[in-house]
Amino acid sequence: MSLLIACSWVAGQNQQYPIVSAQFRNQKLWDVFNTLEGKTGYRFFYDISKLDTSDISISFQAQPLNHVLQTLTNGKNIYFSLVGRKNVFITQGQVLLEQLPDWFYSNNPPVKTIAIEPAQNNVAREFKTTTQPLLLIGKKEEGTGSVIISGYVREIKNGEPIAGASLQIENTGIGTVTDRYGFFTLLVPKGKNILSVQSIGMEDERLDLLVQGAGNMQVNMQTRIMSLKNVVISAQKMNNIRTAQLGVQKLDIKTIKQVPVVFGEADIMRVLLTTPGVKTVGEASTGLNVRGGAADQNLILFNEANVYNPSHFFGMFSAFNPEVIKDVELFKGSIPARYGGRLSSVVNINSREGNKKKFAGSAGIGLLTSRLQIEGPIVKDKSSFILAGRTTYTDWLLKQLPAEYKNSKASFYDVNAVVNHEFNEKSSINFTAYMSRDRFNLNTDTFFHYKNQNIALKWKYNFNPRFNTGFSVGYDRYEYNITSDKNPINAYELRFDIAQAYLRNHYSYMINNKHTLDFGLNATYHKLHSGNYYPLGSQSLVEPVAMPAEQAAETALYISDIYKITQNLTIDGGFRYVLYSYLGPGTVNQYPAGVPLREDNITGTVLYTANKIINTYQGPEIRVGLRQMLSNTFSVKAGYNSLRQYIHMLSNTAAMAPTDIWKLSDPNIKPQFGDQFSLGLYKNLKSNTIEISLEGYYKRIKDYLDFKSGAVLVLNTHIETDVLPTKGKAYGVEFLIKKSTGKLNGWLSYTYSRILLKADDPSAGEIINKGNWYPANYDKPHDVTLIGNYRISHRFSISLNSTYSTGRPITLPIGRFYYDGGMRTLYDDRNAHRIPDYFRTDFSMNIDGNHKINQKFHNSWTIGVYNLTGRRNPYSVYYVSQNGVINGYKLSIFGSAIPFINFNIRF
Amino acid sequence: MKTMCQIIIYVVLIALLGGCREKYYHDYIMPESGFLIVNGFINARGDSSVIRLSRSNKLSESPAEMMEQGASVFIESSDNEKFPLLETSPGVYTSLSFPISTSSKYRVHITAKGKEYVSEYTAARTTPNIDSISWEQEKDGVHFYVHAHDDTNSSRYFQWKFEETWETNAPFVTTLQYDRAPDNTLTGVKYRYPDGRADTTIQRCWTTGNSKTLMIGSTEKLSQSVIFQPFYFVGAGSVKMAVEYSILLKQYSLSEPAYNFMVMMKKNSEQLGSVFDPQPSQLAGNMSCITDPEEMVIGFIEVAEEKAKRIFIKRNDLDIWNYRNGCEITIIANHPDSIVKYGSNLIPSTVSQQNEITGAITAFTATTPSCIDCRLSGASNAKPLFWP
Repeated sequence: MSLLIACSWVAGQNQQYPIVSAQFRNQKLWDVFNTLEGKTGYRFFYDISKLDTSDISISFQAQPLNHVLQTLTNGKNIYFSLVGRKNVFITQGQVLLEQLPDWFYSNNPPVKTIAIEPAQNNVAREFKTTTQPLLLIGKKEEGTGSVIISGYVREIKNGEPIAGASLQIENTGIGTVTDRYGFFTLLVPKGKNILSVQSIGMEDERLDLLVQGAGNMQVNMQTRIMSLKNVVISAQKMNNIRTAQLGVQKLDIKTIKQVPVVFGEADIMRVLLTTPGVKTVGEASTGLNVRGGAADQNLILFNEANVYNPSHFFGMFSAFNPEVIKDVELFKGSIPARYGGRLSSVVNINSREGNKKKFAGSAGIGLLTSRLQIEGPIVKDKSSFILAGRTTYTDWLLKQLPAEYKNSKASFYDVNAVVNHEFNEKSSINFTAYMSRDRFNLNTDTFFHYKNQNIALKWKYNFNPRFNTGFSVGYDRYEYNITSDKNPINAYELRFDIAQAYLRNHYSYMINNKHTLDFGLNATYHKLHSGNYYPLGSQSLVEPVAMPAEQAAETALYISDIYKITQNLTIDGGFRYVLYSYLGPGTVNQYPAGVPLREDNITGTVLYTANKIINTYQGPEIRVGLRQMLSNTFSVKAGYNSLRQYIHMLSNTAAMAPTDIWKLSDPNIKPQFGDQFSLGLYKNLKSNTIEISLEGYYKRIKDYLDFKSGAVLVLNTHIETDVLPTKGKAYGVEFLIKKSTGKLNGWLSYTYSRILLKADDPSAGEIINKGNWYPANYDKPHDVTLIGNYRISHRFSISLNSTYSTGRPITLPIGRFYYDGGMRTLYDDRNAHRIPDYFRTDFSMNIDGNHKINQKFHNSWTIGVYNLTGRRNPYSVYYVSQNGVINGYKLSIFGSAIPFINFNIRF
Repeated sequence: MKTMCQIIIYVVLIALLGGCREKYYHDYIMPESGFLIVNGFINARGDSSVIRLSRSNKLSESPAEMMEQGASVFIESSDNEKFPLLETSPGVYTSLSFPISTSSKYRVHITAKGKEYVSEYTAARTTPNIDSISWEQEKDGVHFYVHAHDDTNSSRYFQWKFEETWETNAPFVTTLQYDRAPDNTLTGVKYRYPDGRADTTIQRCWTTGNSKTLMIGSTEKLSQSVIFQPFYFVGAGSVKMAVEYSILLKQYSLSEPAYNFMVMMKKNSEQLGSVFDPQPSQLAGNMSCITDPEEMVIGFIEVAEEKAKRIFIKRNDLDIWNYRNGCEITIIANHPDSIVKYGSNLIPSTVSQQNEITGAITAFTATTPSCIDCRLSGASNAKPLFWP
């Protein structure tokens, strides 16, 4: 190739150029070019924004054009190329090739796809990223300026799109990140550009582009195969620094799988808990408490489908099968305007796409669960599917229990189906179906069942490279039922269900390099039955109680703009307006104004007919993020967010229980409102391989529901008399240092955070702790987590996970008294004390089989120990009256080190 | 129902995961305690009412009940009648019987340590009869159930208390006792009575206990107010049914607020400790302190009617009742040295060997005192009046 260039250069020197005589005084370079165009008949191509803006005074006397250009460009870091018939290209930084190698036009493609062939040998080869051929983009267009390039970034072997890949045009500050379909749009100056593409876990790509006009391209990336030689990472993993969003965590499945968890089952929720600002009340709970939020204030989306109860088996496992998951994003600070309806966070779980080229699968077996997953093309290179399932076999374990629990049963399964189809480059569709089901009975006469069901369909269409839309519809449902039949007179069944149907239409429009607009509409129809209680069997005298269905419509319009004010300053401003209507049929209890909502204050009920709007809540939500780059690797961000929540989980247990019920906002239960100010500093070190961030926030919550003492939540037709709207404030500082590549990787996080509640309104019916601020159940001020992974060899790595946190608050007894023959406890103020601090260390080893690429089966083992130190971390401390004497007990879920083993096979 | 399951969930989780429950006392400074506790009811049938006054104390202090003595206690009616209660034993205040009018409401009025406390006025309630008490012997023991109904459906909330009494028999008789010289040195054994008969006064004993757990139930979710509820359980092999057992069940119909108060107290003190537990909450009864409205006072006083029923269960009524008393007999030579060595902690039972000619006791059986004297296990040898 270098020879070809040399030849053409010689040819160029032999050419005859027009002779120019001209005189310029205090003129701009582009004026000079204009004059030269007029004098010579040559056309000049340049990007005006790249030209030196200083004034030029110069004169030429009968000089050939190439000498004139040489003089003009000298020392300005711009180069000229005289191309073809009378064309002059002015480029920045690098000389433009005048001519392309002949082979380049053999297919004569206006769009050329460069596919890097996968390594065929057993040992991964290192790619020399600088020897890529020049890639020609677009049909030749007249004029200068910038054009749109768009396309997909995909994994080369299975064609799966790569979300969150970073694309940068080198030396320009132009860059973007692929969306969740791997799609990107870039506004690129015409001419020669170097596009570098990076994504975690992928080999970096560096492509030389010759941009002639608007066009499409596909970037194929290769999964980083562990090379025997050390791979030097010079990537610019700068998303954390560059976006205007705060408080965003993204974890890919590879990272998730490295973190040791109990029973060795990779668990998204558990790994999220190791990131700063995310907590849970204890081990038997996957309810997340994000920045002082309650467990019901998280919007948990699996491919757009809302999963109401993301846990299995008393909360020991999360409901997501690791085999179908690609990555998970957690938004806890800046929540994009397209999301809403929950106060504290959005957990966005994305599934993988099936392999579009060949059939493949994997299977795994652990102590309590086993998994099977298959995937493959439906139409090769066009559509694919994934089908995955998990099930348990815990009954053998329950059989080990003492005799009185021998008849216990607990099991679950979940099934995922994902289908993707690409109609053409512009249009693609994704179909997701999810179902999980849990069943347990522990004292032989009461059975618990619960299940999630979700179905979602999403169509994506690109009008043009700058403008695309996503259109999705879906249906989500959660239900549980409890049956008890031992006592024939009281035999009953209790059912609960909640469902939503939604329609979402999202548009993304890149106006120019400075503005990217996102806007759209979300419409959701909620429906729930908060309890249906009826007799079981003919002898049962249970009076059926059917709580009337509740329904509501929640509609939101939103718009947001990412505005690059200068190269260093970006604002991401969003606005969302939500209209919520509580709909009939329904009955609403009436209370006189200004009196506590108590049962004896009910003055009557009003009956509403079907689809009648009972009442409406509406309001704006503001989402603003601001980013200032202080240097290439250091930025400061600030943000403000406000959100509203119209759906409330009612639970007066400390942990999130499967039998918690939900309630829609109605005339007597106001929506929750929360807003948050946040500020963050972000710094990357060592060629962006180490990310450091420090974020602080202050959050206000209004009308969060706490419960009156002795609240009755089930089958209560006047639930508003048992709940207590409280004010909340949360604040904290989160520190994270993360190294995502290299032999040694992992992160260390520290969080200081508080969440305090206050119920001081006497008209609400009850004052808690004399109207003072009191900590919420999940207030754990200090939290330190270390996740470390060390790759000893390509087939063997070890992981260590260590976490410390302050014990959560509890209400403790302060005294005893006697009543009706027994000793009773007298309790102190709510949450006035804390259980002992929490500390746990886990260890695991990942052993891979050999890495021969062409062999049919790849297997791996995960062996580890959960709670290595065997510390008996208290889940709760409680006092109980036994035979008339009060005893204090500390309850630990894990009383010793728990070893685990897991076997996985990929085919 | 739900709570039971929750407790079991926790047991299962712990068993599954090697988790554990340890005794634990939190080390913190407790605030000054000592709130007035008012326990009892105004007898709706006009019989004497008993109100028990005590004080709460700190967990670090003596676990004994701190009775409130020297208080002045009255029952007041809404028609301004006043009936005094007298302190019949420390902290226990009892009224004489007086007629209760169905058109009036009643409350208690207490003056203790210079402060005045009152309950809310409530009207008399009636309690339906206990239809029956049934029991079933299962592998793990005997389960008791209460059956009751209210055709008017006006009683929906119930509380039960019980008094259980059981007979115990010492397995061995005693005809002998140790004989001592005037200087109190052991000389051997002699007959208790000249005719050699046994001491029968310490062979049969009765023990009585009261319910300690709170037993409540409601029929609010049933179409008819029908009670069929387990309320008590005696574990297999328990001494309680070794001879004969009797239980006196008392039933009270409660108002809804009183029931809720009991539910809360039960939740706070008996049903905590599972994974999905409700949080403990503050108690609010119907008592208040007039002198200092901020001061907490615990109790719920209503005008309630007590209905009672007693049943008996003989050991013969049961299938198998493997009560083991653990009593053994030792044979000791009737010689001071042998007695000091082997029999100092025992009581002589019967003659084991006699000199055929003189009739002198050469060896005797002896056993631990509680195997002969049933009173030593804390029982009384006074036969209760109701015992058949």
